[in-house]
Amino acid sequence: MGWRLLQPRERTILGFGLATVGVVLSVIGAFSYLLYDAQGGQLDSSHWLELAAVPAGAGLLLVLAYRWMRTRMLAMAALREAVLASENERADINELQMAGVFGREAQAWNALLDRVSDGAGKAADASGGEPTTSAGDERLAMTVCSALWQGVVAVGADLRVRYANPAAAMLLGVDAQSLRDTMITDTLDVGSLHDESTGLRRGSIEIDRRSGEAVARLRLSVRNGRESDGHVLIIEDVTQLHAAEDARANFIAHATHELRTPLTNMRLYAETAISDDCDEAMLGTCLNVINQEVRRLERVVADMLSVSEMEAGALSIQEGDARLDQLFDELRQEFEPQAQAKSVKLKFTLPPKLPVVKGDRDKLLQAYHNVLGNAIKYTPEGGEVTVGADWGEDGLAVTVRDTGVGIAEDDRQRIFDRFYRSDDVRASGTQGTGLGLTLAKEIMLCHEGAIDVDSTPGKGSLFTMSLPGTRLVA
Amino acid sequence: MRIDEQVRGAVTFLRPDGAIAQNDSSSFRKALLQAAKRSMGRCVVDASAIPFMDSTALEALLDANDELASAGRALKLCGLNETVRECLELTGLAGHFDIYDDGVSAARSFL
Repeated sequence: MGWRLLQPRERTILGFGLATVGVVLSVIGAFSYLLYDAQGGQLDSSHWLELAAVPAGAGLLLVLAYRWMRTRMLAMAALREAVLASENERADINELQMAGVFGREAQAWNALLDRVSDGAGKAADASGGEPTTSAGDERLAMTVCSALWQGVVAVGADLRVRYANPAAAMLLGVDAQSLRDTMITDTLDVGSLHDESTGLRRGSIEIDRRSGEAVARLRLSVRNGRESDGHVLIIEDVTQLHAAEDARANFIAHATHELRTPLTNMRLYAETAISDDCDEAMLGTCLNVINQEVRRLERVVADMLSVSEMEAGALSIQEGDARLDQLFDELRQEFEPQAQAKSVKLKFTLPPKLPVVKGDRDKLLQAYHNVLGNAIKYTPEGGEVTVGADWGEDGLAVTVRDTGVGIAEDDRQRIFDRFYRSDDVRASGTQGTGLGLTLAKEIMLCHEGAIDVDSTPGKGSLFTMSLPGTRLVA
Repeated sequence: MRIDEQVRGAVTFLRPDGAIAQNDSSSFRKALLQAAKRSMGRCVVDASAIPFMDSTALEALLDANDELASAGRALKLCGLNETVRECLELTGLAGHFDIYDDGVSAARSFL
């Protein structure tokens, strides 16, 4: 019969019995020796029982101590193995059980496992038999939540925060850990999403959150309103979305104005032209205005089409020969009446001979037209706009200098952005789609050229459009 | 090195003007981290005026990126010239950042 086949209680009784025998034998032996020694007697072979009792008792005690220590050490080793095995997420709970022979430690450990197992079973029952998540699954879910740019806050039915991902902490301007167990309403105004009975109700609202001087627009959505599980609050930063919507609305307003103004002029002059009291001189004037407005409308539509081509990456140039003298003549004819009407002096300071440029004639004209049109538009009455050109082996530089309102340093980098219009009050009275300079830049880039601006607010601007020498034919 | 800051819509653009090396990197890092915090992560580095950056500048970019990544964001760069782009690619760091051709595309990525 080995130790492992005995029950713990039997083992204890047997152990105590043997230990008692060992102690009694040791005591008898020790007393016998002391008694004979005190009487001055000598121990002989007739006293073998007393002589043998001491080593027998001591040996028995040593064996018992060894067995007891071995059992304890085996229990500790088994416990250690079970604890280490629990690290394995897929380990079956039965595999983690300890054998009963290891005593109280084994009993306590097995009881603990039973409680954990019971808890998991109850959770599975509550979830309708759905599989429960392991620690590994939870870690994975945490990693996924941490990678989201949307804020995710798990809120209990009592509105206390159970979990907040880092994005939520950033958007709310707090530390994720400090948010835990606090009332969500202390950090966030959930407004109409608050519900007295269930905590939060399903729905979505937008709120403003101030952070220093900046104001962020946050969209709060409650995606899960099951009372038993609490709620999941999704926080999205929609500030840039609103800024883009505002820009789009502004563009539509400007574009509508740009389209409607020439149409209105055309309709009015067409009505005058067909009226009975329109004489020949008036008819000529009407046709001239209608012609100008048609061309203006054509340019606005061409700009919009070019931008959509540009956005689609399909803006291309039709290579050909563009005679600069002809381009400048067309610009002069088009803009002199406008400049005169606005009392702006328009000057063309061009060299006697201008080269022919290899490129897209219409696109180059569009680029020069947009820059010159802007210069006249932003130059107040009595101002001056000068168009110049300089060319050599290095290339061609066409300059447009004005004495207009100028461009603030902050705006200088942005004037070539699509739909960008300055907030400068001096320029706020002018109309436009915010596409002209974007296209001018894109067209110059398509010709391996560049466009630069130098400006002093209140004094004027200088735009330089350059083309490389390889583009010059003669 | 000068660092211009612009707000386009709700996006903060940092535009360092000049090469970023040893002495400038700490101020660059500080400006980046401040802008990232202030703008709630809506931050773009416009690198169009950076002709060159050394390893300390790359480290500053990585620091800012780590800060943003801890909140589910990534540092966005735009307007990189060939030198800076190659620098990022050769060091294997290009994949760490969101890189855009221009500021408009970068700003649009926040929609």
